[in-house]
Amino acid sequence: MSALLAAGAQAAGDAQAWFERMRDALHGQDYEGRFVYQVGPQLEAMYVVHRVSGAVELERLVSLNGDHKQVIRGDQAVACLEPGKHSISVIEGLGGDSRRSDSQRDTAQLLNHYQMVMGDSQRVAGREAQLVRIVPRDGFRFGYDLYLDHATGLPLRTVMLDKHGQQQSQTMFVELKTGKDITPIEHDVSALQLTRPERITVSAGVSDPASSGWRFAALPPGFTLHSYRADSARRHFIFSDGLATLSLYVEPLAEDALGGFSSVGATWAYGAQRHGQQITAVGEVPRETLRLIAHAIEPQ
Amino acid sequence: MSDNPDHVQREQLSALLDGELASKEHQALVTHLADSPQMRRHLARYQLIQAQLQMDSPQLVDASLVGDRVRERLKTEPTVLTPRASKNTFHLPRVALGAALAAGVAAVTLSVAPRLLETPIDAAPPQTFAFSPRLSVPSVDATTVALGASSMATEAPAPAQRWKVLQPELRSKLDGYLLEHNEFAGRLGVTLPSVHVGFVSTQDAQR
Repeated sequence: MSALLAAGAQAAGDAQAWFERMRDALHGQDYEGRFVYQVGPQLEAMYVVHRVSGAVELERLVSLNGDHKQVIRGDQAVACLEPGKHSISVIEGLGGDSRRSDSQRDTAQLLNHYQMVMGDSQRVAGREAQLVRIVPRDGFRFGYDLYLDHATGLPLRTVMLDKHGQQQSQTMFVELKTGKDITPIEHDVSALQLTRPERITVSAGVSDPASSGWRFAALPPGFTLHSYRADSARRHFIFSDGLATLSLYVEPLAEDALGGFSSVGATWAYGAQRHGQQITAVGEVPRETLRLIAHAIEPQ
Repeated sequence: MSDNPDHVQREQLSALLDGELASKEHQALVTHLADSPQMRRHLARYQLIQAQLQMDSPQLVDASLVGDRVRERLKTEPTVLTPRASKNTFHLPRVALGAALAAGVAAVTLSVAPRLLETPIDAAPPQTFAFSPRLSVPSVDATTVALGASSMATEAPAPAQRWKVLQPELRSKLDGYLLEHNEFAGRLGVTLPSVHVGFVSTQDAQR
């Protein structure tokens, strides 16, 4: 019996170790590849190239379907480029170091809300992959089946599932290169400097949530306020359980505001008017979680 | 029944969730909700428990069982959150309660999860309708109450709006939110090959 328990604990520990290795790989390795993204019955092909330059992550992500929508990220800015439309978001205070510290939250804390289980080894995109299952303990968050590359720890295939095992979305590489052979993207990133965007959005700076004038009652289990940003136009609260995340935006009422739910990819947004403000919640979490947090806000 | 006024009102909250509150009590409770942040917190807590129970039991088909299960779950909560069964509340037919609610003046928004025990919670967006009485506190513009409301269909459920066909200004604003969310929040979780996969996607989750 004790041998079985020890084996179980070893397996859980192994799953955590694989999960942490994946996080390190996603933020610390160079990789390039094509993958498919599935939401419901729809499939879409995408291309990604990711490079780490010092503490800075550079990335280019392109949809290979439709209008060639793409996102390019440099050290200070993230740009979304669409044919006939150029918008750029200037991200302040996002050095690579801060990203990494964010991604290295205590994995053990996740076990309060998820089970981590080792699965079998399988072959994905021509590479050996280890299946790690992250199973949610309730319906307020989604789980994942992660097929992690034996050689690098990168997720070759990721399936997002609800509590009942119903698939919400998945990505799967069909081709992956790692190491020093990937395509340089520095010229794409520097091209951001030459872009003449129609709209520039400067992100709000980090603030003390105690100064927000708002508080939250009865958050879904495990979700805590992770950070808070504010400027004169809006307030941005970020909640996380260590894995699932969602953003809550608070701004003055406006005509162009979301009422109810909408979605893009596997991400949902929910909008409502509360306390004379427009509340918009965004995240890859069950719709009920978005709604509960949006309605938990109260004036301090 | 307890003589503690706060306790009585929390019993009424439970009855409200169960659809068992008489209209007169209902109006008084709504007025009290408007004035009491603590009561609103109790209500939010009860909603949370109810939502959890619904997600734990997707196979349940009788909405009237929800109130009983909430009550059972509340017995395990700290005493301050545990309403006792009321002897004075009586069962209003759900249709009558819905009509009573709908007849009021818009001041508090009641969010109703339609047929929430027969449908996966993600599949049924809450419908909203307005009711109620004499609220002088403008900050309570949307107290949300989840009810098992299989027969309270006073308004068709609002379908989720398709992202791609939202008004251009609204879509642009939401695109900005999503991009920002991915950058600041997405990195805390499973980032797939990129945190921006959903943003670049031309798909939506509505199907």
